[in-house]
Amino acid sequence: MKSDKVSLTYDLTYKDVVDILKIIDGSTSEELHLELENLKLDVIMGKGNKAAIAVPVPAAPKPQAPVQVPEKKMSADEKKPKAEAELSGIPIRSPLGGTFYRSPAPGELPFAKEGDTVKAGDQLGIVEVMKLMNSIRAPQDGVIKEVLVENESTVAMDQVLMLMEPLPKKKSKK
Amino acid sequence: MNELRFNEETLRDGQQSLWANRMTTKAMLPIASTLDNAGFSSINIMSGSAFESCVLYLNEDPWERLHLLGQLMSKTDLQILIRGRSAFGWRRFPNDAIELLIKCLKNTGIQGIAVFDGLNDMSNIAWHIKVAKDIGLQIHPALVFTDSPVHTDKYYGAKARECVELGVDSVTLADASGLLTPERVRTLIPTLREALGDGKELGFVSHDATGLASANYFEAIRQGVNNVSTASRPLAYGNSIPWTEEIIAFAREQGYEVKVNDLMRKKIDDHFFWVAYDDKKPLGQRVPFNPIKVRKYAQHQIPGGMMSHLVSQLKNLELEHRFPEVLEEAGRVRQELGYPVMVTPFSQIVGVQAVFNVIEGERYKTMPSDLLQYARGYYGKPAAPIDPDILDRIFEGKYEEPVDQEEFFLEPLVDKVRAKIGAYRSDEELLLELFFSHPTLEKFHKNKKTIEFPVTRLPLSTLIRELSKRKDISRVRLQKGALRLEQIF
Repeated sequence: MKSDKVSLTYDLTYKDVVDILKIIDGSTSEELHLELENLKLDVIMGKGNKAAIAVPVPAAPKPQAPVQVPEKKMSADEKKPKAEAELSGIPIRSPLGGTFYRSPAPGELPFAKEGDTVKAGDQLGIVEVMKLMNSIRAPQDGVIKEVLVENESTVAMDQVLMLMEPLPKKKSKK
Repeated sequence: MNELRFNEETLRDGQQSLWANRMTTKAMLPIASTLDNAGFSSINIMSGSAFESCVLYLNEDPWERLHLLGQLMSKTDLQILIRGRSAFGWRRFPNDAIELLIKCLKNTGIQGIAVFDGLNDMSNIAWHIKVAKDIGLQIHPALVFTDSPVHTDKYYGAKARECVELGVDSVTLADASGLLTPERVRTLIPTLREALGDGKELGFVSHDATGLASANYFEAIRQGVNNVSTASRPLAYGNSIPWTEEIIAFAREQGYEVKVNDLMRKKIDDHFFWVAYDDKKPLGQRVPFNPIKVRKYAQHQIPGGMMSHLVSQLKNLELEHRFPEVLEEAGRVRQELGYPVMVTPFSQIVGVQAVFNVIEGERYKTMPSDLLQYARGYYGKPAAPIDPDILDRIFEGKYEEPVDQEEFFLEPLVDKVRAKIGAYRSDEELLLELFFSHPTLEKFHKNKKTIEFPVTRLPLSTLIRELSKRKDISRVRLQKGALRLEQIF
């Protein structure tokens, strides 16, 4: 048993250290006196008024910060209502919330770009949900009028991804 | 005396199950030599998702971690877990990529590969087994446990025999989702034991998600498993696996010899208590067993990590109140698809299809392309055939050519990628290119940090450093043995 104790330089364990620190951090007392088997620790809190001063100083507002933050976060959502209001053409919607990809793999050409003529069933993009790739396909023949969502952006269910126009009939209106 | 061998999983399963693989290499290095000397039969040091976490979140080169650990741990067999054909990535990879990966892993100084396939389809991992054996690595396949009418003892016995025929070193029964019960262990372990014959080691691992893991281990030990996987206390229980100490105590009480050194083991526990505090990570908590919850869970079997995903998806659609329906439906979809084990990617396929079915009010109207692939046999053979009515719906009555696995396995991929990235790059870099997208790697190379070699500190000096960091302390007086310290801040 004795030789065991010699090899263990460890009558204070990390777990003890964690427990001591948790006690100190969770305490509102001014003094803490701790005695373990082989350790005596006294901690005196409150460096003059430092603790009291420390709080109000960072509380003083930094003028520019609050203005910028909310704006940035909006960008994914704000696109949607704006675009929805001015839709014209056949909307291609996302069947579920996820990540929109315009091309089959990173660095490759997009499935379809603005001005492309596509046939019904042609793949226009991918919406990835939890690593599952859902193909977005053209509902009918037509021309891609506008791609409303950027590659790799987050889209909501039913969000319009692209607008199509029916194929212009060249001669007659039949 | 019979020996019970212990496979250490703090660095792999423990941190994967409780810390989402966010443990840094810096947290591993100071304890590596203690782990190495503690008498474990093996230490599992990485999986595909930890590899991914290094690149995506920790900005650490996973190869660097493997080489460092390989150098620091030379006495104990080190293992790495490969998830079947998707290996360390998300799509499926042909033979040449799997072979290159296993060879590079061997180079880091490991002795064994652990491998599993989500469908328990051995044709998916036969190549891994062959390559490992050819280059002199041990190979330890895991059979993934799930509860279904087709996942019988007989089914698992047959899978174990297949493994033996392929020449494996051991077989492990892996209960990844905590669905195993002591009652089932009582019949399943003897079946597996018999299937393996005398020469092969039978391993056991069970997750504590439903609070039954320890009881399962006790029963498995009584029924004659040879090797169990456990973790240090901070990374045990909850979604993780039991604590080494608890299982050792039981094994010794049952008369088994255990070669793990208690002092070293305590040091390992203690080290990770500090890591958890320092990196603000949760400690594993025991789960109380609740039979009603377990029965509900057994019906859909959607893994915990995915539940939160599904809820947030439904919340986005303002359909959160339909979550119970989605779970019901997931159970149905799982049955119709031939009871795939609910691990990646099958848990996603089943879960997403259940969401589609519920929100569209018409079943199998919209389907992810992965479901079509699954139905064509792209992932291998499910335990039961897919419901023929559902198969018709999936293919809309059209005949679809089944995927030829063999043909895909033989496709050359490595040379193609090498031609693209240039011949002068290392094999390890090439594998990163295989497993990650270009933008991901670009970001990774930009943010990559060199792995720090931490200074080893003792608990006392750590305490003093921590105290001196605290601004609201004005004076510390410390006395330990002959050491006396007084500090006024």
